[in-house]
Amino acid sequence: MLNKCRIPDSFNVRKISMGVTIFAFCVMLTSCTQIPQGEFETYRSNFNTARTASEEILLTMKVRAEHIAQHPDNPDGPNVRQQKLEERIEALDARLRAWELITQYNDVLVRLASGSEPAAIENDLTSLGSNLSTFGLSSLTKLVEDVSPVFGIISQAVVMIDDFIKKEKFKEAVTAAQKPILGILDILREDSDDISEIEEQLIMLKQDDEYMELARLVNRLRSMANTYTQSKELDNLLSQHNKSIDQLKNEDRDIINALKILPTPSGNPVDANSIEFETMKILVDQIGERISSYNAFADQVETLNAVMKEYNVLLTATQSSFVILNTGVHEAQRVATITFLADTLNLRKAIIEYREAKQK
Amino acid sequence: MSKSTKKTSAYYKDAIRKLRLYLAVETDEENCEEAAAKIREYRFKIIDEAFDRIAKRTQRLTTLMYDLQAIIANASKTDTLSDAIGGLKNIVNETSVIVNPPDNNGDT
Repeated sequence: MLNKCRIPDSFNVRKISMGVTIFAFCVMLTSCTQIPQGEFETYRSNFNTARTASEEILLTMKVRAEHIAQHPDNPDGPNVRQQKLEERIEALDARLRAWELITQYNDVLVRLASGSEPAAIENDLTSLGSNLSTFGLSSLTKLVEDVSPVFGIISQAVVMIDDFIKKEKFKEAVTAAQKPILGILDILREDSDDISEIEEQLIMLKQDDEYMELARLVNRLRSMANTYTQSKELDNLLSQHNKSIDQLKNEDRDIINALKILPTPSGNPVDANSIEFETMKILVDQIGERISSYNAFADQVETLNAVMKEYNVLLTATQSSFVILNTGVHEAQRVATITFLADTLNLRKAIIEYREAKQK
Repeated sequence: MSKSTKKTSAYYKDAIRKLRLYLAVETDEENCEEAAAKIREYRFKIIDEAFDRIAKRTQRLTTLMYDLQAIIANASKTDTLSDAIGGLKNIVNETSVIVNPPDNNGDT
């Protein structure tokens, strides 16, 4: 069977070189794609930063979901708590899987963006030629002898064509993934509002305890203040209290006014003695301490909002850089055509040089 | 955030604000405890709604993930000439071993 295999006599180096050149020009004329490396790097860098931040937030939310399920004040029964916990963990895990999937996609893009190595192709061709020669067919041996000197040129042509194929695939993959990747990042951005809400409410649950205690102390002070006749000392004390109340952060104006004390003595007010004044002073100090604790939680909410705002900005930047990558892939076609033309001419030059050397 | 649940959350937040206002002047311990319990309940409702909104998006997320998986599968199947040459080299290599078996001096 192998002995019947005929290699046409006309199958020579010149035809191969011409074929390669013509094919390369055809490819060039069809279209060209260049990978915008800068845009690709920016996208990957934004993606990696966003992924790290998001995974940390999502893992924290998983811990929060567990915490909520076990919270003593959670009004749900044990079965409902468990069911909700499972749903929440599943939803958060789906987000983590989405990040993993985009990472896989990015790895594919990196592979497509990487160029082929001519030396490796030449080695493969040399190995292929050596093995063909071992078949002992004169026609095959002659073919290998004829073609082996141009393995280097063929390798270069193969690299050009391979890189063209890969770049086209890269462009296709970037264009096709616009909808899913931007959509996934949209969902993560929408989630960030809700994650922020959950975190805020968990902080507020702790702040409520401070507020309860603060309100209790204020009511006690008000009750005492209304018992005594008005005096400069009492006015000063209440003025100090009202100033402290003004320090409450992020609190509603109506609530601040309600926590302030404007003495309205009822019944038959009496003069406060020194012990009673001392007691009221202690209350004012205790209220001041509660306000500090209350404000510490308000600061936590503020920090949380700042972090979540940054997170949102990061997700938006990742989306924008992916859109820019897509635009870059399409806009770079003109540049790519010039580059491809230069590569093709270089290849053609190498073929001519080879022919000239052969003729000498 | 969906409009309906946002409205409900806003309702709970407004209720919490009113309960805090009530606590600012209420002196009865029992009433205060009751108001505090209501605040906690509303906070858990807001948390529940936020988690529900996240969970509701999961279906959309899954669909987008399927789309991306298909794109990854398509982009991964890139047949290049160098792969073809590599494949051909392996076939020829295997064939040459069959056509020209290596000397086996150990044969009986």
